[in-house]
Amino acid sequence: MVAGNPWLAARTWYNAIQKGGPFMPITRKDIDHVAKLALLDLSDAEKEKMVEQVGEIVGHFSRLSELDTKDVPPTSHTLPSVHNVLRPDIPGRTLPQDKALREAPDALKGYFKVPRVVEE
Amino acid sequence: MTAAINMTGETMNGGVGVAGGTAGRDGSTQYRADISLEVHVELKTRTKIFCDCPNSFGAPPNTNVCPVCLGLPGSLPVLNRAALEYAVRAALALNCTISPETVFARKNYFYPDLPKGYQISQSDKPVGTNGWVEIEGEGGANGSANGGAGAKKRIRIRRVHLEEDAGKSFHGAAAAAIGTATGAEDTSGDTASASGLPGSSGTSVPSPDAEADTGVAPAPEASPAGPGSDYSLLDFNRCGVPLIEIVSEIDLTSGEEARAYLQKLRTILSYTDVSDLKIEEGSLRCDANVSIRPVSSAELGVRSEVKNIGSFRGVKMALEYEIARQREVLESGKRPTLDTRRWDEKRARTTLLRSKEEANDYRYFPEPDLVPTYIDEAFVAEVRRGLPELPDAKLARLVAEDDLAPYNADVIASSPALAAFYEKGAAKVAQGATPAKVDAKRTFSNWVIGDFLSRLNAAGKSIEESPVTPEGLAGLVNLIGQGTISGKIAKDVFEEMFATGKAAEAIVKEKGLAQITDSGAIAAVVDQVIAANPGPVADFKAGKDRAIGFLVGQVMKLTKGQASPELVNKLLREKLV
Repeated sequence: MVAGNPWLAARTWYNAIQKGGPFMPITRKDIDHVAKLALLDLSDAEKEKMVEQVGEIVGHFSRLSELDTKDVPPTSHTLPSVHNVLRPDIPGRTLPQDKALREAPDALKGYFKVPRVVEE
Repeated sequence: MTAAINMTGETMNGGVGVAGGTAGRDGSTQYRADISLEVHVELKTRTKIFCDCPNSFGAPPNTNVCPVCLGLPGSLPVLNRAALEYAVRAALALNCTISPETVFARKNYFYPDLPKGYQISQSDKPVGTNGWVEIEGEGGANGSANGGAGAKKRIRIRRVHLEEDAGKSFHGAAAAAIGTATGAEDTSGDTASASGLPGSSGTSVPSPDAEADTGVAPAPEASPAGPGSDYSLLDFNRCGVPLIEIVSEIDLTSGEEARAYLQKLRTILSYTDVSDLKIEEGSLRCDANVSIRPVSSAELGVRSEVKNIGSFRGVKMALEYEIARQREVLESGKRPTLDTRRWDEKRARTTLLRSKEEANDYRYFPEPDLVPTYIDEAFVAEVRRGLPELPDAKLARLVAEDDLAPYNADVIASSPALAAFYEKGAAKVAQGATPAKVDAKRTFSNWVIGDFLSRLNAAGKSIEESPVTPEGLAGLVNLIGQGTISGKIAKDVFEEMFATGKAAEAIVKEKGLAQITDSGAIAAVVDQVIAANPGPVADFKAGKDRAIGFLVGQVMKLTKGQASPELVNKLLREKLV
């Protein structure tokens, strides 16, 4: 379960570290899973390298747990004083169709054209 | 509008449920179904949720787009104040608690209808939580026809959250049709060639849950050999249109209950005026989760998720199909799998889209491009004040104050347009009527849900398009109340009003349809009828009271229905006693 879900995994590590438990390294299985989700076609060698590098990154962030955050409320954002940024419901300018499609690898009759995706 | 009216008809035939609690084929195991619905509703703001592109249906493809909704690098979303307000309004109408702090999250998945590679949605801090709506309990459909005595069942709503819609994709035959359509060849500025396409035909259901990497069985019927079969086409006009997703708890137990719940949501939301709620244009969409288990089991069964449900009837049919299918799987000794299935309305069955090996992994995390939104109590109070009377309250008031039959009140309250029509007319009818035997508002309500609605449906018109105004219909009912015309003549007058838009009074005057209330004139006809029908007269005199009905009928016939039946009856009795 943990191996299948990197975010859950990260939380589990965090919890483990909080309790002074052992640091759980990134496994090949984690890399396989993340690569699949991100549609990355990695070679075996690349994956092995990722196990090492991502493991180091996650390990580095585990240092954060050394901070005492007992009195810090959880936040979803790094700008605590900024909130409620809203705009009025007034239509503005749109891109002309030709501009919208300009960077598309392929287009047809005003539509973006992509390789056939299966019908959902 | 028409949909609401039609569905009321459906309610009355409803309740066929394959539902929970039905016995297995050999009678050994009873199963119950556990159902929850996820309902997506497009909000009718003027602009999209995170950018100021117009939110409108039917524009030429890729013209209501900008760097934000196309997911171009460096663009940043900003929340539309109206979208937030509409979501709060809907959540309040659904009895939710509004979160003091609401936060957007990224839901990561790859599908070409969402160019960013993630959908901005909400995860652990949705706009509203813990709501509920009430529906008629099982068997209550009949109860409502008999006066709304059916027990109410409360369906809990887990959450109401805001998110952005995805673009619209065209696959297979639909893509081929666009590709081969005659018109200008090149795409630049050529907005007209594609704009004539029917917006809904051949479009796929938006697929916020789609995964590109799963082995999905392609839909073979959609792919004739042709130039379109190897590509898909995308229109991002809908991408970024604000949606609310309403997630119910697993409180529904049959297809019929799910249908009633969806209908109730639609009714309530129609009063809040936050959406067009057009199923056919995709502004109201529904996915269902369903599992079955032996009634003796406390543990939920393995569920399947059914997508592409495109109508109220479809919800009921799709769920009943799924319940029967799962029962067959169980009874054949197999274990159901965690499937995502697609409802095929034409063939009335579900087909497998993908089997989930594991739970979806969307890697939700707080959207770093948007800051939290605090919703203070003053704002919530202000939005609450702006809510109109909601259907349950309206129904109760129409029964208590206007003395309507619960069934009539239910039909009227099921649509804001119909309710407005009724209330406008009822105000007039109360003023004009003499203190009649029959309560004027009750009579008026019968006309509204009876002749008026069926005539509108037959003409395929909405209430707003009705040639008969509320005041006009009230005028007709007042003529009945004052005894100027009989109920029977009134039906002809109504037809004439509908056809010509003239007032009832004018038609009655023009055609000389007023009842004959001059007893002298009627007495002459009465004498004539008595003389011509010695048999029935003798019967009546011999104590057969029912024979008078025949004699009254004869008088009515000779007066072309214009005699006051009460007066005829009175005169006949006077003369025969």
